[in-house]
Amino acid sequence: MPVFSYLAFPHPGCRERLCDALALLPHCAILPATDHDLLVVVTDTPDDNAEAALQRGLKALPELQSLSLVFGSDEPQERT
Amino acid sequence: MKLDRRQFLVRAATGSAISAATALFPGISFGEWPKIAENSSVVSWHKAPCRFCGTGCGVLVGTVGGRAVAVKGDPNSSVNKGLCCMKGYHSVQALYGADRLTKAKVRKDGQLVEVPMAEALDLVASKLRETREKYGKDAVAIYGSGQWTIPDGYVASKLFKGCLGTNNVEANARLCMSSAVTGFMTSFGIDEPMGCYEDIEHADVFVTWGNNMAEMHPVLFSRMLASRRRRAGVKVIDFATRRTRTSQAADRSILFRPQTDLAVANAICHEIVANGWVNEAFVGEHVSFHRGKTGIGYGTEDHFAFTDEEQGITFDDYRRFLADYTPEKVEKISGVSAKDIKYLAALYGDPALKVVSFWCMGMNQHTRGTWIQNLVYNIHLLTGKISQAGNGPFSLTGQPSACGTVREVGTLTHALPHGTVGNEHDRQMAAEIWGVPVANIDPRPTYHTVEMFRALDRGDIKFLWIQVTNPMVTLPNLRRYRSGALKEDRFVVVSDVYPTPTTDIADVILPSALWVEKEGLFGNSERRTQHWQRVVEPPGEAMCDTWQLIEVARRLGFAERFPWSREEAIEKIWEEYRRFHAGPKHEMAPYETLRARSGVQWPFVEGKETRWRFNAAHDPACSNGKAFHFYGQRDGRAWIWARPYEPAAESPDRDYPFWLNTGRVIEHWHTGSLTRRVPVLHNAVPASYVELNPEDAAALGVVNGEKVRLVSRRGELVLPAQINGRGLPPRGMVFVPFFDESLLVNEVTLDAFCPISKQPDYKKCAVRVEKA
Repeated sequence: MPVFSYLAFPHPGCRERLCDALALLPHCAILPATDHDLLVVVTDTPDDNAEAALQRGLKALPELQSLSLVFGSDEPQERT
Repeated sequence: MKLDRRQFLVRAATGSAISAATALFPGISFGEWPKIAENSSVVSWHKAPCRFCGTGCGVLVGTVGGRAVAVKGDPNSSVNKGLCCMKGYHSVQALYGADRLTKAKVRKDGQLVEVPMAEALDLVASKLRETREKYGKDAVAIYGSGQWTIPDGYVASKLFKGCLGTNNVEANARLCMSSAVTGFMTSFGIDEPMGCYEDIEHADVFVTWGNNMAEMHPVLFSRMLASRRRRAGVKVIDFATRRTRTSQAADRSILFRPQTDLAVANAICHEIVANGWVNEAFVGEHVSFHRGKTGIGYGTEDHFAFTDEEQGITFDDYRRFLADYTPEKVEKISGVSAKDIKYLAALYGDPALKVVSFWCMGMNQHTRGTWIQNLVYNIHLLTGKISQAGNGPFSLTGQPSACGTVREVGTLTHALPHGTVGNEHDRQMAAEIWGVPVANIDPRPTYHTVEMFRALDRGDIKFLWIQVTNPMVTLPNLRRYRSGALKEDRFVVVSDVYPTPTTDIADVILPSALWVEKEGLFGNSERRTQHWQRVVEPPGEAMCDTWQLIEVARRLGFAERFPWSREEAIEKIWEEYRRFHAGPKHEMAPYETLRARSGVQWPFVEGKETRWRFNAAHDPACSNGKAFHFYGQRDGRAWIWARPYEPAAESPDRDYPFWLNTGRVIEHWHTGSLTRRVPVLHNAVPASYVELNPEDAAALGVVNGEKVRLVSRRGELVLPAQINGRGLPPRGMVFVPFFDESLLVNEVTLDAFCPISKQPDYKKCAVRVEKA
């Protein structure tokens, strides 16, 4: 049950499309900056399979220029 | 709010990412963060308009654990684009002054004693009913404010005009912008500015008419200076009676003698006509010419009455009228050189330059306030520089909802939410929407503000409810009105958030919720309506002014007219009120839209805001098939008025040889009842003072900080001298800020007013200056 947060930078001119694409990914919340081309992405997945699927989805986004990890928590005792 | 561990981790992850983004881009904004961060350990941000001036800056109020702890500019607000002034940044501290009123008080045996709120409201209702039954409906009155929220003013008007049947409804905006209203009504037949703040980014020239924007509207002034920095050739011309921080930043500072702006405006028009700079196509299509009465008096006597008589004239008549205002003649009246008058005229007259004129109290607080507005409109109409991006006259307001609550809701004696009490159609509309018999609404206006307090003094008014304002500091010739309010058998109710000189005269004090302690709406200077939610609880038994009025209305038997629950009241009131403005000239945005956005400009038609009224490319109300349509006037044209120069009500003479001018400073809001509770602002300017010209000070033998006595025919005041401070009056003038309740300059000022607008002139009276 990992929780991660990232800073996501879109390719120039792709901010809105990146927001739309991220919003469609499961277990993924976004917080777009109102005055910069930058998004905070927070992921909260229920298990490793879901996390792996989400990672694949993130890497496949053509609008995404870079994704920088800021915060991570993956507590073994919470695993079922 | 409690968080489980999972939620805590998500919040921590989000907060960490935001912190990282802030390190990369200082000042970066995440407008959606409040939706995520509503917990007790993280600051959550909520949109609101600033509580202070009429600019209407959008702010984000940060709360933690039910307490407002921070403010930042709202980057989603087009007004200020994330910037605030010093008052805005410190505004939440005004919620938490140590002497906040939290319980109701009732005067018993001469002493104010705390009572439960319900008991105080019972007393207010019973006194109001008793007074009305004993002395008649016009013996009761309410005096509100341009700081009233729109629901506050709407409910007050509905209760007093619709249910109680009296037009004794006034607001302190009478003291700050009623000349702006009558200026608009006489020139355009419809109120409020045609332009918007975006004009600042388009104009080549700004002329500030008696308007110290650097201190009074600092965010707009910053936008103006930014525009000048960004674009070559942009100029700021300060046209004023004393040098201020605005003069220091201006490209040119031109001083005129008090009251002679009337003559200079006419001289500018003289030059525009004489040099062939009239935009003849615009004037021919869109303008008509008029004159009114002259020698109209100053209103210093009780029961003063004046009605103007409009008469149509020709352009040639107008040209002949202007012949008296050659630059050379006006130089002698005004002290402004003929060269400077021609310079100003050339700026307005150059068709290649876009010009915005800004003004506020200098032109509004003027015994010919309506006339000077007309004359500045004349300049823009002759040259066709109006209702276009970067071209326009722009009357600024001083209070956060002087436009929204007083002008749009119509909380003045003659007004209704749509139109006036004298108009049968408008009365019928009000009666239908309010659900009251049309006979309830009296077709006769009663008392404007100064006359309302004279009526209290005379005993014609016995019961007065004052909300969100401090007249025992702000009324001119104050001693007369304070003694009137204290007379036996007068009953005064005051709703406020802190003790003031006005609560000192109260029989009942009702503690009020302030700003983000309640839900509300304001309307700013550029026709922008701004909604905010309650984000913190009011202290003690403090209650929002809207709800105080509803509680009293219900006690008086009008529950059916005010049926809303406390949770839904503001939405229901807004949706009822906006029925008054249906149609393309004034359509207001629905509640949900206002709730979602950082302000919406009206007319809001089919989801679109209107930035430039009367311009067919922008304004859906234009219907004449031409580029412009001034649909407010009966002839579909804007009116140019031939208005002469007439002297001030009181001018310096041998016994009282100085002009007294009063106003504000950037640190303090109006009477200081809020800003003086903010330590940073209070310590910056802890007390009032009198600005003296250095040569006058030398002649009096007075040095900086030394006590000076100002004496007028009405009173006197001792206060420290400020020489070469932020303001520099010319020889023969002194200036005093009015924020300090312990140094009441309005005991010295004169209660003369513009006979058309009834707005007093706080900028001009005669005083003697002595070393104390």
